[in-house]
Amino acid sequence: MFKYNKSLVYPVNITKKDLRMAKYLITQFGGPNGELSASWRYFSQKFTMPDDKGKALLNDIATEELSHVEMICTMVHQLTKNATIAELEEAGLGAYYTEHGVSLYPQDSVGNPFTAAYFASTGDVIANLSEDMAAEQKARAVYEALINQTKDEDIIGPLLFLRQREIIHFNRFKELYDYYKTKGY
Amino acid sequence: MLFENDNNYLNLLFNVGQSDNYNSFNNTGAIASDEEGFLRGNMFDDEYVPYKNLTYIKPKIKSEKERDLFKIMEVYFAINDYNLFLDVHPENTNILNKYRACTEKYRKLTKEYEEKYGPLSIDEGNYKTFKWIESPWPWEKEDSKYV
Repeated sequence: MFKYNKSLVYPVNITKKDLRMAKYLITQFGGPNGELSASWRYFSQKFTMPDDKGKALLNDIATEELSHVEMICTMVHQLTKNATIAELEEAGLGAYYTEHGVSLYPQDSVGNPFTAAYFASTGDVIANLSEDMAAEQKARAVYEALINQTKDEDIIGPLLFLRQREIIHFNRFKELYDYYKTKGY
Repeated sequence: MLFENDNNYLNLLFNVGQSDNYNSFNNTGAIASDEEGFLRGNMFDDEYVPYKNLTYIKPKIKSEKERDLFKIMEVYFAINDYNLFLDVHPENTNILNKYRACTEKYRKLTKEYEEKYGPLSIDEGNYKTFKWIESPWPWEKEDSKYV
């Protein structure tokens, strides 16, 4: 089961409306390399991990990713606060407004809705962990692109934190992968 | 904003890519303070890879309540990072001891915060009214009304 803590995992406090960045950032909610995809990838894979280390790590990283989903959604929500229809239109979010208002909807930055086709759950521990390592690197690359696209420190701060978590998760997955290789998987 | 050496970044990236021994991170390096680790998103010095010259941006603290909450977030972050490490290296007593100390600190800080401001989780119910539903929620800013 899950227990909700009434706190973000890292502070988000965005003071400037920025619909352009909101449009880009939403991909880390519902895009191919986003946090939703990450959490459900590891959550789905955890059930067939072969031993205690694998079950624990996949479970615990999946859980952490859910807190990252909440961070990204919070950023998008705060970036769109008090947006007018004309401003949304100008930022390329007119169609988004038609479908969703300014609610959060999992999609990538060009509007493709989230799909489970973004991740695999193969039943093969080496294939799964290879995918997990690649996923962390792809998410890191997206965070670096997003950091390059803004000068707003309120946005950059949380993105630097999230980027660093991708690096740590990659390291943990790689350690587990190498450990399973020594076990003959 | 703080700055770090670019060479350091490249070296660390290179090391991560080249490592093929799962014990390579089995922690001999230094551990950050709870505050430093939280801000940069990583407790382990030898795994830290800043982006370009950027390290971290210190969140602005606007109230005593926020400061108290950030202290809890710091400790919770340390617990989480040690947790992932111990999942793969459960035999590491150094990190196990740090993890245990953090859980004790987390319980103490959480209890103090909840007595002062209200519940952080639904199983803390020692209030005369149902305070759980009170705003702000984590995605809201303290001074904001969204509805």
